[in-house]
Amino acid sequence: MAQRILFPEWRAENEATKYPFAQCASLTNGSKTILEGMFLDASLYPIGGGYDLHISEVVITNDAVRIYIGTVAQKQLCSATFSRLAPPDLLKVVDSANRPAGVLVSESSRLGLFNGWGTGVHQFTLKQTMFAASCVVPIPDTGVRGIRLADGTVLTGEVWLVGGKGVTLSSRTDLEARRDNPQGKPVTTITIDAVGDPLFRRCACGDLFETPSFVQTLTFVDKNQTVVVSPGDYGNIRIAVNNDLAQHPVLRISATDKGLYVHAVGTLLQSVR
Amino acid sequence: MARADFYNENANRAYPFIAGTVAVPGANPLTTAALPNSAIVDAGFVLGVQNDFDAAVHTVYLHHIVRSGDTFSFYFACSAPSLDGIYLVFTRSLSDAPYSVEHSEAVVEQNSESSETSMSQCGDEPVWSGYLVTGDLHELAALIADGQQMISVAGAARIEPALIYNAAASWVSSLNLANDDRTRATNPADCLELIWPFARRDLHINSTCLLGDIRLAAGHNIILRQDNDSGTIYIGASYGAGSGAPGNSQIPLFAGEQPPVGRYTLDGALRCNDVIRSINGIGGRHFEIKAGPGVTVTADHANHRIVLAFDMKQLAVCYDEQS
Repeated sequence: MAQRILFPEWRAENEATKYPFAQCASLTNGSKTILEGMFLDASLYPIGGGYDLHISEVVITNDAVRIYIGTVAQKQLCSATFSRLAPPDLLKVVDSANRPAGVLVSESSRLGLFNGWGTGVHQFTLKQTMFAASCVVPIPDTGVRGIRLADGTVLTGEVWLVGGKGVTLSSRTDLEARRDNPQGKPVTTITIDAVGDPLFRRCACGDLFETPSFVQTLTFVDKNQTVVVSPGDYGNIRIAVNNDLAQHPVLRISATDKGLYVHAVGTLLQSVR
Repeated sequence: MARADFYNENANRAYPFIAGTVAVPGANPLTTAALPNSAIVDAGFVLGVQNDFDAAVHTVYLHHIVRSGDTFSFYFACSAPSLDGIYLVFTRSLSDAPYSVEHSEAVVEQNSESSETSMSQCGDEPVWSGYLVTGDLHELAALIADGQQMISVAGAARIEPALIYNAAASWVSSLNLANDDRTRATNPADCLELIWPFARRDLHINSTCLLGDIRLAAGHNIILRQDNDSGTIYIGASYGAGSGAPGNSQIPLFAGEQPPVGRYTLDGALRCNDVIRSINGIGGRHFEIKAGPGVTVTADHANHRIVLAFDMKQLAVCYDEQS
């Protein structure tokens, strides 16, 4: 005589029901049918997912099965992929950025039933494969969910922004009055400055760079005194032969292409001439 | 036909554990494989945004139970490496009403007498959390005597995967700012090293745990462009853009950045007016001083001197404008 199990285990209880699909789901698109018990449980929480999560597409290739789960507005919100040769017991669902989006609980032998569908794309509508509400955690796509770089990398969690050479990042927090908060709400501003690297040559050359010894002052010495002269705002020092009161000094200093020419004016000796 | 309620059903089956991982016939009664079905009737877990849980590989499981008097402490663990040693602890008394619910956040045990809640770096969210609903604990009490523990065995007391919400990589929880160290000047090899009034490091942390409303502002030479449709922010650099060119000012990488002793720039380099770039407007790597009639230029290498002698050499008579 057949015995009735009074308290069947969770998965065993679900295998003869439409769960984790909604009671109203037909589980067939007229061509292909998802049998009751092909899935035993599910938990779905893709970012941007609503209550209308359903299996939108099953893509079967020669070696793999990909199950797309989405909403009416976005059919391919997330997906789970498994090998046709060795189906697992648990399907990990991920979104397009490879972020966790849930699990589909089954068994290897049950998932193996997809092998009978043949290769191709099999589409389903919301009414056909809607998931039970208790299996869906609606996660609105609000706030900053991630920072996606140009190469497709998505950064989440505690994200570090680092100013590289020549770029400086800084922050300040100000109170900003708003209609709903006249007292002011703290708003943080991150300022990005591209100031360059004044010592870029040293940076580029690394250990090969030798710090030059710059001339920083000129010291004029005569018998009675010592005068130290520093350059002006533009790094220039002016050497004059006399003060401005002397109209016709004998000593002359004139500029050349490479420096200074210092000489006295007068009649040269006969031998020099 | 009337059916038992959800918790009543669960008190008679493995759920929320995977069938076959608890209440295993013949299991050592002081292992979690022997956990009676009636003890735990529901549970759920949320793994925080920064974890490396892989549903295909890792599990959440009952690690051990400690009994002290009539109090039971249930320690749940996760096999993800990032959550190693961080437990979710639920405490129950034998006299608690069946189906009591308790929420808990992850804790790290410091020693046998204290534990510390394990929060994210910014302290705004636990690394993982969960809830536990217990049933009648008398069957469990019959297995563990006062002061004893029920310990874990491999593969035992694993939670149903659908009861785990893995929030890994689900959102940006905070922004943190840092700056690479700037290229810093050094003195020539034969001079003393520059003395910096702070510890030199490769990366300087500017600010951490920036939360809430955050704005990006274009500073010096920065172009910021925002595309609301695609949610994209373009950051570019162009001379004079944003707040304009910085001029001679330098922007500190971190609060309190100061020039080295005796210098005036944050990178320690000499300023334009700290070095002689030209004499009488003539510059160049090598400066030439050429002596003409009446003047002798002599180099004194030992004393780093140039001696300019106005010795009237080669001159017959002085210049006379009247003649």
